[in-house]
Amino acid sequence: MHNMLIATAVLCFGCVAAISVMAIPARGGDLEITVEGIIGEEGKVMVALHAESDTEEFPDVNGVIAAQWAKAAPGTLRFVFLDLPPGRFAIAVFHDENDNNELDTNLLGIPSEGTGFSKDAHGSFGPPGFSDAAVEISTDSGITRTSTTLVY
Amino acid sequence: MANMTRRELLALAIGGGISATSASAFRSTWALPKDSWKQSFDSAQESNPVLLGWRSVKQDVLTSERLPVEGRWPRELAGSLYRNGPAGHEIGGQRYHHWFDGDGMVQAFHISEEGIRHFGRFVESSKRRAEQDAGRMLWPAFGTNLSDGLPVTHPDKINAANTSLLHHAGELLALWEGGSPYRLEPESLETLGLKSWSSDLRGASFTAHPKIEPDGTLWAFGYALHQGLLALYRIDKTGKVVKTGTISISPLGMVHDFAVTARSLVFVLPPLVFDRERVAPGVSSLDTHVWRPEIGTRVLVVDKDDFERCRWWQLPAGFTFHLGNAWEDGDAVHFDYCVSPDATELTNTFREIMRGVWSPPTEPTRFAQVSIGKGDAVDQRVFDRQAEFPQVAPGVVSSRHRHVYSLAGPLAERLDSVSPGLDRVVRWDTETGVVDAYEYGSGFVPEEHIFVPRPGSTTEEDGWLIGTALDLDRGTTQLAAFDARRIGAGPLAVARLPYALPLGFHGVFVPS
Repeated sequence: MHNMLIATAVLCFGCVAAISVMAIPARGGDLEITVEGIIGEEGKVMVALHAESDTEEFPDVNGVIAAQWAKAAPGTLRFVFLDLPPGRFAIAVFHDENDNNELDTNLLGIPSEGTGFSKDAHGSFGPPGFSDAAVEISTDSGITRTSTTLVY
Repeated sequence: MANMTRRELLALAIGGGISATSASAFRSTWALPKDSWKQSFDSAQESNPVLLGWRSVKQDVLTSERLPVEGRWPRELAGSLYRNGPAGHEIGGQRYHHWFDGDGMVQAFHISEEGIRHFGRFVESSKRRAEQDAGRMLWPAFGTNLSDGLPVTHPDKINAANTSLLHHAGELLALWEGGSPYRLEPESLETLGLKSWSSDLRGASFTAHPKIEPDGTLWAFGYALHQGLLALYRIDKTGKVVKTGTISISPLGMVHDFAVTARSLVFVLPPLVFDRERVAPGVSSLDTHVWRPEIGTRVLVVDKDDFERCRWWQLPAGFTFHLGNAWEDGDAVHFDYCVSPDATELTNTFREIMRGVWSPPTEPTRFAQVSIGKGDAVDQRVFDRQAEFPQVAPGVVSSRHRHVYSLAGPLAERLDSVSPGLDRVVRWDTETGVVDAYEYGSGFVPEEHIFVPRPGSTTEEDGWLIGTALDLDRGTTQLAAFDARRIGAGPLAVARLPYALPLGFHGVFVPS
């Protein structure tokens, strides 16, 4: 719990910096994701926010508009993306257990580190589509909450 | 929080290297309506005793001390026979729709001077744990569709650990083929967790038919249908991964077995291939496959030292599960395998049996020898006898062999209408064509028999053949040992269990 609070606090501070580089046309709200089922404390949990710009290739780097990470802690971590404009967003998460900043896969291309998506969306034999993981941020919506349980 | 570099952002493109599908996330709504398969099976069982082999085991553990033995059990034939097979065919009153789907149960026969003892235990896969806790099926299986099933987020989510076993570098592993092996404690059969050979292989498909060369080198493979990849693994006798690689194959289908020669890995790829268009939530792996005989059967020979050196040959379209052995002679590659004209046994027979219907395939699986040489030359000789579960003495794996042990059926006869036709255990002398056979008869369903070399054995026949059979009259399973040189003389000894085990697939003998 102590770890979680620290992570949340630090992340919120960081988010402001990340989001401030974007042009924000209208006031929307914050998006909070609770990442559950984290196993172990090796490495870090990486969280990427995707906008609806390139839904075909989700989760693709072209759709990433902001990202955060926190040191891994067993159990749950919470991340907040502040002051998002109205629109649809999806979040991709992975547990970078070996701290190499990459989602490791086995020889056959299957992730060998924990992954998860907003709305706890899952695909079959691959990631879910953007719309399955998409969360709507409407005008002046305050905090919108979603969660995911990592799949290892 | 930290500022992210471009590289880190790239890293967040989760799914890089993974082919996305249009499958949507499913929310499970319960309870699933039960279909009529269990009811059909239960009522058919009253009139067809062979269905005893497809009953679901309800106990987590089966055990029997000091089995009664008839005959003289060979004193030197001591150790443990481990067999694996699907035994949890039903969950919460719902029956699987394919023989290959049930949770794996390992049957151990511990053989010592004190006698023979049986101990059977389910592999506690994460799949089994979750479904037993839920009291219902949660995911589609290899051959069972589950429209309201959870998404398969990782192959190991549906790993039934039900196909075979491997004993290597001091570890006992329960094998599936679509995912990781499970580590087992050899005495208690307690499940210790998933086997991860290396970070490259974590969660990777691992064949149920790895091959161990006489020097202890372990060759294995895995495959990923969505990625169109065949992965090759070379593991040394200590269990260390020393070489891996992948080969892109299109189209690719399930690959169950292979063979190794001194220089090459030999794959036989039947034209039962994966079709991405058939992928949908809840659809079984089997139903994403389509029979395309126009492709023919492809034979792939891969250089052990250079996985990029691949040679291809064509055989007439046929389906195969199992190869015997392979060897090379100059430019020629020779192998034996069991082949049927199509895949109806897999796609139909092994489904229908689950609701108590014996629906024989169009043709039985036959023993065949293939020689491929320079250029396109292919010579295939198909014997007119049903055969399955081929194997050779461990000392000749990857080199020239003469004898193949297998189950077999009667000569040149069609499958009968009520039961599988594999009614005997045989040794094929591939040089003379002579078959040394023991016929169990129609009251038995023999399972895979394993050749165990006599300690100090230097020939392919100097040892025993050991295997189980379902005795339909007694309604129990027995374990028999044969002199491999004189199989036709009948078993040297038979040990009887007080209960029947479900028909399983493959096993391994670990000498004491």
